[in-house]
Amino acid sequence: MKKYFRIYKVFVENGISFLVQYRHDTLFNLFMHLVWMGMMFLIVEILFGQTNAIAGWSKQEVYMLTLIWTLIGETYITFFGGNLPEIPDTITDGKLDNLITKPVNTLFLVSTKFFLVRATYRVCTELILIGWLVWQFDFAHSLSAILSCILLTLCGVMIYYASFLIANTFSFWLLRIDNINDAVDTISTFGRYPVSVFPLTIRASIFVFAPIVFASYAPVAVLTGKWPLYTSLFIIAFTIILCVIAVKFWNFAIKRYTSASS
Amino acid sequence: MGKYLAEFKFNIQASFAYRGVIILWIIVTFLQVAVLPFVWLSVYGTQDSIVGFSKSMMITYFVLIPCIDVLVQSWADFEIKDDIKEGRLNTFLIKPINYLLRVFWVENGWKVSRPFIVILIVLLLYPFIHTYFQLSLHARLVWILPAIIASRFLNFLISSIIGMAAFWTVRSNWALQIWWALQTLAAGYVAPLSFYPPNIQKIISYTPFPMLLQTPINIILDNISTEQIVRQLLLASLWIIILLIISNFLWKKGVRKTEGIGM
Repeated sequence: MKKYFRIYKVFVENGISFLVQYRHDTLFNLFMHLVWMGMMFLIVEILFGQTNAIAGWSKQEVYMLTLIWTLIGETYITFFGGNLPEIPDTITDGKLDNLITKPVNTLFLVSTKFFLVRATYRVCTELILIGWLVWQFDFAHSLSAILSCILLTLCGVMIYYASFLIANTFSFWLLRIDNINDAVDTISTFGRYPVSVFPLTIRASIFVFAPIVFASYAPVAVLTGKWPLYTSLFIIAFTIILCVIAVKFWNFAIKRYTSASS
Repeated sequence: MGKYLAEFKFNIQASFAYRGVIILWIIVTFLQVAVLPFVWLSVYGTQDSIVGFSKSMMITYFVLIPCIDVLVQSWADFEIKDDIKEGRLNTFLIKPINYLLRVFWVENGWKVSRPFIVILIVLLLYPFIHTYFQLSLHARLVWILPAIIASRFLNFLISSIIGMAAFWTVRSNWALQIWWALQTLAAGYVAPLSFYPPNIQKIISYTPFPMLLQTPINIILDNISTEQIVRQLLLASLWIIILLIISNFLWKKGVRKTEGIGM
């Protein structure tokens, strides 16, 4: 375990070095993120310009959903966003052969090599906005609701990780699926709308086939009291099962890997 | 022209060759078509009409978005940016072809297969949306072909100008992000422009954005007068000329500046 901490420390230091090299790029990224957040809020305003509630969700609750969705996405990007989308190229370019031969778990290397420090600025921005929203509109009914929301947000990050890992593992068999990350990313954007707009059958299908859509819905539903607190246990169990499936699928693929080219 | 047609035919074949890409695209487009109608149905609630859009028109509007988008959308910005950054552009500069025309025809090749997939998706969705999905034949449909052609050219020109930012900066993703954000908001991907405040609508009406997506859809929905269509087409023609001049200018400047990085 100590070995992995030391290696990860090196990855983080490399990430900081990269950040320092492209200072202007980092500041510009933060500016673009604020522009993008403004666009998300504008979409909410356009929807609520015509109604007071969407599927029982008020404007403030939809804002919270948008912010939690962004927070989960940016946290995923910080730790894993620079890594998992590279898996298809890593396999086809033969770079995976180099990683397999190292005395470290291959999944650890492909998942954590690039630590995107600039995304931490965006995470901080989201946390400030969420804190302001919670304070301004008095969402939380109890401390346990807040703690459950935090825990489920972390589960959301792991659901993102597992979903992207499963999707990218298919590149062991399918030669050209470089748009798979765009596909998962597009599916994840539906998580900024309340999933309760869908009929029950469609909601159930989405939960099974695209659980990433629920990643942000669950924490906000618990925080606002739309879901009872005990549903957090189900979400945590689901997250663990999904992560185990993702890792097992990766191990299944690695065992059968015979090298693309190197 | 023969060399561009050869690229066109080759890329038609390429678009069918990678079935994994097609399957993913079907799944994503299906979800894109399916999600927003439900959101807007929820917004409508018990209201029958909002700013002149009935529920049926609204649902039909969002089902038509991928149908029109697949014909007019351009990804020349990514193509040009990647070719410049990875040095591939230099291999095209020494060939007796117009690079931008080549990119245009490569895109057209990939577009041949997509409409069939979109039609398949709409047919799959039809049992769920037939109550609201309404199309009718009307005289103004004659304007749809010129509108789509104008939209295609506008999309390509703006997209290629954005892609050329890579001539001057190594990290040009910001330009693509700004273009994507503006297009999403101002072209009508989120909601018809009638839902925006009047002063915002007025500003957008002078830009090429309404022609990119909203105007062709409004023609199909018969939600626009002939005078407005003609005005939009004339404005689009003016914008095409302006963008052609800008594109030509930036291309000449950029090619002189390019150093072949990434080769």
